[in-house]
Amino acid sequence: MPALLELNDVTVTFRRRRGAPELRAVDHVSLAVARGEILGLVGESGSGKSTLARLVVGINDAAEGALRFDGAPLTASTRTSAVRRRIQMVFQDPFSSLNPRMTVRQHLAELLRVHHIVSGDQIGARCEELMSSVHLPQALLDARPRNMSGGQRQRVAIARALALEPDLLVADEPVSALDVSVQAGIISLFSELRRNLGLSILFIAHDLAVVRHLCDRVAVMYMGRIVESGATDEVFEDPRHPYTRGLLAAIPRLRSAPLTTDTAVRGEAPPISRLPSGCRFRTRCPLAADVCERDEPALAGIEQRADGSAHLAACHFAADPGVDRVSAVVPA
Amino acid sequence: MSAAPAQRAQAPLLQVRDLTISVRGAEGTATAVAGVSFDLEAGEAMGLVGESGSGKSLTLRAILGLLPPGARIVRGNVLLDGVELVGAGARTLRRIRGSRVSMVFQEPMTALNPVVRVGRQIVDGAAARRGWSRREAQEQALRLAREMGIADAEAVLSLYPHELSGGLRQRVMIAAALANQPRLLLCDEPTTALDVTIQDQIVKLLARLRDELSMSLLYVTHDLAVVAQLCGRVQVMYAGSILESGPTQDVFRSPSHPYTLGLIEATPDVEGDAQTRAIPGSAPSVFARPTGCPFHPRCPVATADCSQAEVSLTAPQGNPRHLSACVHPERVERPRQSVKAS
Amino acid sequence: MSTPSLELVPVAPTTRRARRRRLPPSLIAGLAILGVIVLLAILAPLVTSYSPTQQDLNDVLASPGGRHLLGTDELGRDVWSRLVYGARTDLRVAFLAVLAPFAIGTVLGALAGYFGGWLDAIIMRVADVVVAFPFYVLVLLLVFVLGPGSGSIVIAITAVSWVSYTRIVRGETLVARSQEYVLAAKVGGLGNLRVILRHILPNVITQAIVFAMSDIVLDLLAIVTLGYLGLGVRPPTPDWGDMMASGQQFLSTHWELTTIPGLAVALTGLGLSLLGDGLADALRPE
Repeated sequence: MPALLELNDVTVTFRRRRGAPELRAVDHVSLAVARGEILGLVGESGSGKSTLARLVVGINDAAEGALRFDGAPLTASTRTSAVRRRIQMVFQDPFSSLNPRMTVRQHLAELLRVHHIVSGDQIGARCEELMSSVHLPQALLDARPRNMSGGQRQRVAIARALALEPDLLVADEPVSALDVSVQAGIISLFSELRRNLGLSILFIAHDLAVVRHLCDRVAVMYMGRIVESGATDEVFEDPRHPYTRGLLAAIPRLRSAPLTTDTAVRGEAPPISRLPSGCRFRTRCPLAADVCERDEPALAGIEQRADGSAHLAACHFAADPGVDRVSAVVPA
Repeated sequence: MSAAPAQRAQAPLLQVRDLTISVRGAEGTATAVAGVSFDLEAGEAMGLVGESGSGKSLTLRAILGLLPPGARIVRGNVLLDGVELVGAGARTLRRIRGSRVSMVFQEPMTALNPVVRVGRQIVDGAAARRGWSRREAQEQALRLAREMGIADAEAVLSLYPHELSGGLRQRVMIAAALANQPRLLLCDEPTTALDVTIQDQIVKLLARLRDELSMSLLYVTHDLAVVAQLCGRVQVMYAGSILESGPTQDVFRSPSHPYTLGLIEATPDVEGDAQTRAIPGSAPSVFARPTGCPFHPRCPVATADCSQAEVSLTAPQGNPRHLSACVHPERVERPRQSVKAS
Repeated sequence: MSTPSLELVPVAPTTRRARRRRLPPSLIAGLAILGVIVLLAILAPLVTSYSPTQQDLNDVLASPGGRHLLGTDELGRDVWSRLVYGARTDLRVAFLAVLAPFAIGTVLGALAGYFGGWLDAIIMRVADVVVAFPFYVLVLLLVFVLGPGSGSIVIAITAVSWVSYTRIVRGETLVARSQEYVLAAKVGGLGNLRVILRHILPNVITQAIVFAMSDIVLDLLAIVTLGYLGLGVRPPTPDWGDMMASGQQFLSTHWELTTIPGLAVALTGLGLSLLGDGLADALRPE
């Protein structure tokens, strides 16, 4: 069965000012989301993950490359209203993603009505169903965003996305702006929706810890490229790209004091206008060698698992058993 | 990770006693910080942990007298080296701000002047106070920038804030805060807006400064894991009250308050199998603070008397340094042990 | 210990209470003052005993008191009656002179801000040209060309004032357009028209309304000024400006003929200003 969503070698460009050189926010990225799968897309600021999310829902356009949805090409012209319905988005900021002047009911009813999801007299009932599916009390249907907590608003945003009965949900850092005690609830809600509705989810996060238990597969982005992808537990247990290892090492541990004062990843990502030659991570990489400066490594397979899902990494040393990956830490 | 035992014999650097802050809003006046007390030793790093609405930021700002309009200290004492800061005159506050106590904020873009080059911003305050010449000031700025790990310091110092990345701006702000060699650095969520790899760098930088300069840190954050990395002691705040306090690893390994347990279990664990769990409900608004223990409406093990009891700290595990405000600390479960994935 | 993802804590009752905030005192005062004036204007036939245009050449320049509450003017017309009917005229024209630019300016501003590109460029360049001329120069020119009368006044003021509304609404639209709820509406497949009407306009219009309140004061003054210069509402329809102009010659003997309409203008202006301030406060997001 073909994947629900396919991105083939897509590139999204932008210019800082008129006349400035064109820069690539997303640089020749290929990935796929299977039906009923939750794919995590992790990257820091400047990685291009949000741009990619917006490309999938049609806010941005691809300068190069092709998108396919449910087997058919997905372009500006083929993205009809019927197709739009099937790909919906949940945004990061729970406050600005809801119209401050509209009640929850109005948010939901508007979409139900415009797309004729149900007949007019059914709208009320459907609104109530949607509220239950995100575990919100019916009483909040007539509330406005400012009278709700961040977690409640985010559930409303999810309910709004669900109103159109999409096949694919793109969640752009949906828990980053929430208190940690509320995050877990939203994450388990996504898991539940996948289980109950067969929803496919592209889940974008800046922190690997968040995607650990939710996502089936995870892809790591750096400066517009995917540097590693594979089944979640595999990427966590055996990260093959130095950046992935750095991301994991950088996450502060709750239960143990730091083992080292050395930083996980040194330096900062260079500005996108000054892309390093060869591998773009080499300026911060503990393994950087001459080959890294000359050749940009391709995203290549390391091994095939029994279930056929591939673990890919874009590093010249990814498959090299001789490299001591575990202790490749950088002095501060 | 914390100060050497010998230093504890002296009086603490900072003493906060019964600090109570009220805020005024459209709905009236309410208590945002209710009787907070703690001590901070010289060279010690302490975390002040809480979620939105806990009052942790207000507590921090009250120390320097930087409360927002509408907020005021209703009662309580803040003693820095024995000097009372609550109600202190403008001159006293000016003298300690920037020199004995300094502060680092969450969003460097708003804390830095957008039209002044960062090099000047680092040393302006110190230069004025110490009468440095322009060349001296420049040298000091360069030295501080290098200490903060800013590569290519000379070039960076001539830039404006908007030309720097978030991580660099934060380093600049820390450099500016340290220009006068303060004994206490107040940190108001300085890494919340930063990428995780940059946060790691900044946290380790602060740890190094804490050790090399014997500087005390009062670190406000909602991220327990960062506190575990940086701070020897932690205060857990909720709805204006301290609900638990003690040595960091003690509190996180065997919490004595259901809220602390809830926070621990809600924090994603990147190494283990444990699924995170949310705390049901949401934090109360300042104007709707529950009676008795403020956490009782959301508490899984609350009993009837929890809504009546006064918030007071006891030592339920026999360790006088590990305190909890829980009425029934014996009902708090231990956190599930995370099993390292094999 | 099972943790349902259900929100157990309902919406706090205080949040509902908060919505019934007390109205700002300036709003109440403005409404009171304006309310009285508007009420009198509406009930003009009931509160006056004489027609404002009826001349009584046997009783010119009567002092206030007696049969005529505020006396009569040089043609024997009842001053109180002319004052109240004048309020009708001037307020009506002022209202129209604000409504038209408000409507036109808001539409143009929303379109310019939302679509950008050449539409934005054209609208803003035309606006720049219009605003390059001083307000009164253009208005007087237009009224002169179109001939005096309330219709011309409304047209003239509209032709000049729409620019402010356009700029305000365009600015707010630019902000609103990049808000995530607008993006969400587009992702939800809502068309541009619906997005503009339902999501952008309600959130940008408050600034335009607040501006309209201060604009109406200026328009009222403009109308009165035009009346004073003889370019306003055509006589014998009563108009405060015209009353002030004709009463001027009697300033030494019957100063009330000029002063009273002047006070009326000032009082109305005050009411409108207070209303505008109060509305700005009340509409400000918490």
